Amino acid sequence: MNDEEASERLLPAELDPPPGARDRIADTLAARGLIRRRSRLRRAGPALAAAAAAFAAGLLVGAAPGVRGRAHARPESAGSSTAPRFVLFLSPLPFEDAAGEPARVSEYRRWAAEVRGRGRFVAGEKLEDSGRVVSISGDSAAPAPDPQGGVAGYFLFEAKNLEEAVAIARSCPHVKRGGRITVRPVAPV
Amino acid sequence: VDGRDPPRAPVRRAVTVEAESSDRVLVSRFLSRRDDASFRDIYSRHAGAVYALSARLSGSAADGEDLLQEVWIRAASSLEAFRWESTLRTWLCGIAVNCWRELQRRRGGMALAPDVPDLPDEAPVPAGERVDLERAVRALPNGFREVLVLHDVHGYTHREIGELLGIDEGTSKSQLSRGRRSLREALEKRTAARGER
Repeated sequence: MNDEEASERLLPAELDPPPGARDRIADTLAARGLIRRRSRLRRAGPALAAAAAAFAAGLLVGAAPGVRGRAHARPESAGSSTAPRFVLFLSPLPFEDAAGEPARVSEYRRWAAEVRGRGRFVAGEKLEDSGRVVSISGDSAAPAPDPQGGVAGYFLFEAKNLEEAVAIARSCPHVKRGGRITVRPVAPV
Repeated sequence: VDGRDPPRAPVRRAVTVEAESSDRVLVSRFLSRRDDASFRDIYSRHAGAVYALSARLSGSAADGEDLLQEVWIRAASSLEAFRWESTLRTWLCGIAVNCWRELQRRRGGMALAPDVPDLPDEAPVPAGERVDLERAVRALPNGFREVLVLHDVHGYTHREIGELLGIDEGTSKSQLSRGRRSLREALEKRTAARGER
């Protein structure tokens, strides 16, 4: 491969990545312990940063790469934002067939892209059914997520208030597919 | 447009060597510091090429960004093992191709319905023919598009394409030839349609 042949190429060999991509990727690398990054929380205190990192790591564990959101962390514009943040916990779908997975993923991604286009979307992952439950008495296999109260995925985004967050949740294709979404505000720290 | 690999001029080789030297410094700094700044230095240098390849291979800006992210996750995890048997950019683009192939396999090899119809507005807005060309390339069948993008845009040789895609050189050449023909026909149709308006 010759990197310097731009003049002979059909199209330019470089395109500017989407705005904010670099920061989102840096945040993802930091959340996975691949780079160190000074964050707003870290500046607020080491203990707080450790808690935030643990929370982020917990959310990212078990993510299915194929449906990884484009934004694992705060968008560039949200770096200094103080807008309230909300997490949508998505229940498993009552009727979920593997054959329909690609179309479903595509539909959810379009929705996330639309929310992200409004500068609201921060992160999102689909979770595997498997996992471990950790407690003081030892570890055990995680039970399969319950369609009523289990969590099959999440989205994290910013909204003006709970009402707007609920409206965004209602627009998620998960609802029309029969899934339940629990909207929880992120506690300000 | 006969499918032969372009000749490599000595001056370009010198530029490549210089670029590799700079990359070695950046990678060394990244591995010793693993901080935000050292990541940004490498990212700024190569993200444009990795993103262009990812977006054009997948035909989707959204998939392109997903792939770009996956490339950096894998690169940051395995840079220590990189042996400089290729340039850093070639290595990164190779990861992008692998990620794209994995994505296709996960989706059952189905033709992807682009979830974002066009490349993002924030990309340098190409004028006239360039817009047509980007769209026509995106509309090509996967096999044609992969080989054409790798060869005609990113400068891979047929041998390299064969290794990356798991096909032989002859197949790469024939896919390129057919891809170019399809591209030319698509562009001619667009031109003719404009003329009728």
